Formats: sequence, structure tokens, C-alpha cells
Amino acid sequence: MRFTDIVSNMNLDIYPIIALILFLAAFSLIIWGVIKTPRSFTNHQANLPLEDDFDFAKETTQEKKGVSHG
Amino acid sequence: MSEHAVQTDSSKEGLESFVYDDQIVRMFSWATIIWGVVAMLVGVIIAIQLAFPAANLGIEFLSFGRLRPLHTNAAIFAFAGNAVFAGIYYSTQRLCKARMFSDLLSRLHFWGWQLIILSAVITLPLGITQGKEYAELEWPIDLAIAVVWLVFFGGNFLGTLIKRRERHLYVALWFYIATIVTVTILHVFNNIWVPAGLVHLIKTGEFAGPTFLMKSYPIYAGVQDALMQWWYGHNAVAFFLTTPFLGMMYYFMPKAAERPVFSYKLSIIHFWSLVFLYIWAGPHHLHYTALPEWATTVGMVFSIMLWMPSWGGMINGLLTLRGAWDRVARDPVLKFFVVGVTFYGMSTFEGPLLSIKVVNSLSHYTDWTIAHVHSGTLGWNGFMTFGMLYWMMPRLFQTKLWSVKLATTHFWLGTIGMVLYILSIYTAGITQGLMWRAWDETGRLAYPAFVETVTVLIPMYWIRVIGGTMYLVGAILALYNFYMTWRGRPDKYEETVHYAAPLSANYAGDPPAKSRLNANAGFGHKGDKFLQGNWHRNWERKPLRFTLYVVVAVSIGSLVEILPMFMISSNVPTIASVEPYTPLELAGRDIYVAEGCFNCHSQMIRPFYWETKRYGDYSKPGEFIYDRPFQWGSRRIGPDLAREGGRKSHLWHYEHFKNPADTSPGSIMPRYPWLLSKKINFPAIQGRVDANAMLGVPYGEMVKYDPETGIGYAVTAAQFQAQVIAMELEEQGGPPMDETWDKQVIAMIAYLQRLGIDLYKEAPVSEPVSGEEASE
Repeated sequence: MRFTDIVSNMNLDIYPIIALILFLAAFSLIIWGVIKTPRSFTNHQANLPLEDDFDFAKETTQEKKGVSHG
Repeated sequence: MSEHAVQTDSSKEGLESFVYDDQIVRMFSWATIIWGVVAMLVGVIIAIQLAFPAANLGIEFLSFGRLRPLHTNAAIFAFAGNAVFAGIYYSTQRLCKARMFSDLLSRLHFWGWQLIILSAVITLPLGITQGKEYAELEWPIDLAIAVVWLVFFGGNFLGTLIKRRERHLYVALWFYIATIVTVTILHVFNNIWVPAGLVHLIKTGEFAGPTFLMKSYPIYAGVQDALMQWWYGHNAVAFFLTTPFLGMMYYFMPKAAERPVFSYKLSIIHFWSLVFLYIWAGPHHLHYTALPEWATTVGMVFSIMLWMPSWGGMINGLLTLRGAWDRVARDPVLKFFVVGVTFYGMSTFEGPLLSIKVVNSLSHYTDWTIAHVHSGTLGWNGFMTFGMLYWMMPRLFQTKLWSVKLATTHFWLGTIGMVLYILSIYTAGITQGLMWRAWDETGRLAYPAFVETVTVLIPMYWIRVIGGTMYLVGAILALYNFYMTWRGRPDKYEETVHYAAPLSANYAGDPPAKSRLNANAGFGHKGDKFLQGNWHRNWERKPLRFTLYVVVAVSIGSLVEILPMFMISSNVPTIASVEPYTPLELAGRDIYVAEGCFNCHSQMIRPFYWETKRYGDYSKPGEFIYDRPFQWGSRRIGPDLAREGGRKSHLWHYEHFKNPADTSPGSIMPRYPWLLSKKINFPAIQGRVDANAMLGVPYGEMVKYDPETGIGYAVTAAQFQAQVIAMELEEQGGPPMDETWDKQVIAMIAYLQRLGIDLYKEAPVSEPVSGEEASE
């Protein structure tokens, strides 16, 4: 039996149902993962854009050097 | 690898030094604003052509059908595309605390992309097109896109992630990952073709002209081509115009507001929901068409579900400004961001609304869709881009913005221009949709002449011209402002040297989850560890695994929709009387595609009373099995042509191409005088037929060549049919046959007279007529 035959013999109604179940399963997992993520972790993550450049440089070391226009 | 990349400083034990490559960001930023002005200028030109058809000037390179794809490609791939690259190159380096993986790849990416855009600028006005919306560029350019996007850009991005010095990937980077992998998948699978001209050259050694050398046919036909195209088309919106801009929103809005994103947890839900759901939504572009209903229903349901993550993202963006709203009044950057995110919310509310079948029955093929698209591109993509550029440019040029006042003026010009554009075109769309479906008390169409439903829109088209011009002027002000800011740059740019520790290869991660259960069952312990939810944090520091999961998420939706469409034969019931196009009709069809007729004419009659009354029997899936590419269209500025065959005389069509207003007073269709003078490329016809035969079209003897003359039978058959049509044209009062038989207009008439008539023919009982028989 070919794969085409298997697909052809399945009721079309099942595809949207499969789709919905897959999405709900994935969505539930993500929600659960998010609920269980510690606040300290997400706070650190949320601040990443604010830590680069100047703020980042303050925390470590910064040097400046001149370069010509590219 | 860059010379700046990794230098160990002995005085800073264990740290690596690096500088960011801001030059590549400057290059992409300049390209963004320059191409943006070009895209908007072309948009204004074609808007004027619709309001004032004489503006077509009768010049083939400036006709609406050829310029409209240039406008969309320039807006999407040149303006928005370069903006995406500028934003990604700026933010990725900083979020990864690393210079881009390779300066060479960065430059190859930049120049390769500009070359692709330049190719589009040259080929689209020449009529070199695949005839599929937002995928018009022909096969050599497709190949270049694949290399530049995946190898130069994707490789460079992934290399940067791998050598990063920040352990966890910020949410913006997830959106970039989704963009890169999904656009690759979409581009590759929607652009599988047979390069007809190249195959013909290799097979026969005959060079049939540069235009034909660029010609290709998709391997998909009709219904399947439509599904693939709108799977691609919708997700080009999703993964080229939405996900990268969301990534930029999550990076640049916190930067501009100087506070973190409102809810990082919400951004995680936003990302996965969006990536999983978006890919399913494409079929909502094909409601009530010959696409099977199950597919359009799935598309509709998932489109409605998209409301949730989209608005989650919008709310997350706007609430990032909590406590900073007072600055919105003073800071043009925040002004642009606020309106941009608001338009994201409006567009993503309207998109699902339009996907509801009953709403779509009114909106589809009207300007409502155009208004929706422009609220997304002008409002969301345009304003997010301008906000980002106004934030970045002073930093990139290491000076203050030349004029905040000018930026604010740009903001107000753009905002008012958008409102004028969108409101007028909403009005135009709803007006036309209602006029199409209106009938009187006797059951007749209230507006039987299609042209009446167009001329009534002209005042709204003028308002669009005004609104679009205001938006364009705003962009020109931005260009000037950036130029003046650039002039104020220091003699030498300062490059900050940063130090950061490399990622340790021995990083153990978070403390491993421990089971809290006392039972002996291993499954229970595993389940309990899983429920403690560490896994997503683990994904966030593993870019390859993260990428793999994104591929899985987008592939599920794609496969569940596409596999049944290709594997269940009942989706496209064949019709015995539907035969392949004759060689001349095929050549005419390719001219139809090249002229971009699909930009104004659909070939899909929906099963509504008002449509069948106006155009004839509704379209069946089996009617399109030889259509490569499908030409269902997405907008009716002119009437549907699915059953055009036999409705009008050859002479009517001839005069119509010469000057549409002569045969259809009030028509805004451009004149096509060049079709009356340019010759049919007869040698290429054999190559066209051969390529279609390669794809399974039963052309029988047509693929053979006369052993004595070496001329293909398809060429002979095409010449014969052209002479017959030219003779009939002369009999109807047209020009002498000798003047017309070898002109492109004859091939176009052949094609148009064939449209939709097979349904009413007897099924054939023999093979298609051979070239020899045709000559007799």
C-alpha cells in the first residue's frame, strides 16, 4: 500500500482535528513552561537589551579607539 | 573571521575583546531609506495611473501590470528587507555580545541583496516574471536569493549565535531564527520550477532570446499551485514582515523607552503561538475558490486563533512604555513606535476578520484587501522602521539627530497620509464589493457593467494619491534628515572595545530538576522533572536545538495542509473535456503573465449568485490542471476573465488592446499598443511546449520536430492557428491578415478566446492534433 492510498483513505475531517489537538498540546506545554519559569530568570532576560553598549561597558571594562570611516 | 573578533588581553584575564560591526548596519540603514523612497515613489506612480489612466503613457515598461509587482517587491524586499537586516545586525551583535561571525559574509549579504533588488528593478518592468504575487522574480534571481539569504545571511547569523558570549538567547533572537528558517522553507518550496528557456537551449542549442532564457514554469499547477503560492504569500507576510519586526520591537522599544519589555513571559507565549499558528493561515486567501473547502476552513480557523498571540504581542509592546508615556509627546522615536505597534494591533485584528468566510465574500478582490495590506506595511512595517532608524542613525553616526522637528513633521505627514490612504481605500473596497453583489427587484444585477463599479472609485483613488504622496514626502524628509545627521558625524568614528568572557564549554546549566516523588516508577519521575519546566530555559541557550524546534513547529502546519492536497486525488476532480492549451494559446498565456494582467483581472468565479450572473458558471478545480502558474488573481480592477472565451469578437479584443476606452468607455485599463507591433517569439514556443510536456502535460506529437526542416511541430501549429485568427480578425473588419498574424496581440486573443470554454466542449476522443496535420 502506498502512502498516497493511506492519506486518501483517511477522512478529511480528521485533519483539522489533528491540527487543533497538536496546537493545544503545544500551547499547553508552553504555558506550563512559562508558569514554571522563575521570575528572576525572566527579569534577567528582559533586561538583556538594556545591558548592552553603555550599561554593559560600565559593568566590565571599556576602551575607545579611533578608526577611520568605513 | 573578522580581525577584530577575538583578541585575548593579558591584563584582563579570561576576557575576550571585540568591537561591533556598525558599518554594516550603516550600509543597510542607508539602503533601507533609499529603497524606501523608491518603493513609495513607484507606489504613488501606480496610484496616479489608477486615478488618471493616461499616466500610463502607452509605454510598456511603465504599465500598471508591470510596475505594481515592482512596487510590492521594492516595498517588501528592498525597504522592509533592508530594515530587517539593519535591525538584526545591530541587535544581534549586542544581544550576543559578539561581532558578526564574518565581515566577509556581511558584505556579501549586503551587496548580494542590493544586486537582487537591482535585478528586480530591471526584470519586472521588462515583463520577466513568474506571475505569482510576491514571488515574481524569475529562476536565476530565485537562486541568488536562496544563496544570499541562507548562506550569507543565515550562515552569518547562526555563526554569530554559536560564538556568542551571552548564554541565553533573548526573545528577539528567537524571532530572527524563525524568520531565517521559515523564509528559506517558503522560498524553496514555492519556487520549484523547470527553467524552460535553459532546458530548450541545452536540448536544442537554440537561443530563443534573453527573455525566454529567464522563463520558467512551476512544477505545481492550478489548485495545487494556488495552495503553495498562498501558503508562501501569507507566510511571507508572517515571517518577512511580522516576525523580524516583532524581534526588533522586543529589542528597540525597550531601548527607546529605557525600560524592559512589559512581560517576558508573555513574549514566550507570543512567540510560540505565533510561529505555530501563522503557517496554517494561508488558505484564507482562497475562500470560495476552487480550493477544497476543508483547506480554506482550516485556514480560517487558524487565522481567527491568531488574534490571541497577535494582540498579546501588541499589548506587550504598548505596555513596555508604562511610565514613559510622557516622553511619547516629545520623542519622535516613541511616536513612531506607538503608532507602529497600534497598527500591528489593527492589522492583526482585521486579518482574522477578513479570513471569516462571510466577510471575505465581500472583501475579496476589492480594495478592502489593499487597505488592509497598507495598514500593515505603512503603519506597522513603515513606522517601526522609521522609529528604529531615528533611534539608530544618531548612534551610528555618533552625533545628535540633525532635526527632531523635521522627524516630528515626518511623523505627522506619515500618519495623516496613512489615514487618508486607508480610509479612502476601505471606502472604495466596500463600495465596489456592495455594487458587485447588488441586484434589483427583478433579479438582475443593479450594476451589470463592471466599469461602473470602477469609475465610481476614482475620487477615492485621488485621495489615495494625496495620502500616498504625503507618506512619500515624509520619507524624503527622513532621508534628508539622515543625510544632514551623517554630515555632522565626527572625523573618525569611535569604536568601543568591549570585553566579555567566552561561554564556558563546561557550563552545567541550571541545577537539574529532581523528582519530588517517592514512587519507583521511572516514568513518573521523568514526568515530574518535566513538569518543573526547566526545558524551555535549556532550549534558550541551545540555538541549534531551538532552530530545530522552530522548523518542527512550522512544518507541522505546512505538512498537514499540503500533503492531503497533493495526495488525495478527489481534491482536484479531472474534467474529461479540459485539454492542454494549444502552443499559440500557451504563448499568449505567457504574454498575459508577463504583462501582469493578473494584477487587475481574476480568473476565478466564486459560487455566488451575483458572480455567476455576471461572469458565468463558477470555476471548477479541474479546469486549471494545465495552468502554470495559476492566474486566479487577488484583485479585480477589471472584470473576471475565467469565462472570457467566446464572449467577444477578435476585433473587440484587438481594439480593446489598442485603446480600452474605445470599447469600454470609462475603462481605466492602460493601452497596450506594443502588443500590436511586437512579434510573437515563435522559436520559443517549442521550448514552452517542451517544458510543459516535461511537467506531464499531454502534448503528444507537439514535442516532436519535423525531420526535414528541423522546425518543431508546436511552432508550425502555432503559426497555423495565428494565421486563422488573423484571417478571422480581418473578416471582422480588422487590419489585413498579413499585418497582424505574427504579432503578440494574436497570441493574446488566442488565449483569451480559450478561457473557460473547455467546460462546455465534448470530451476529446483522440490525441491532440499534430504539427503535420495542423499544416495541412
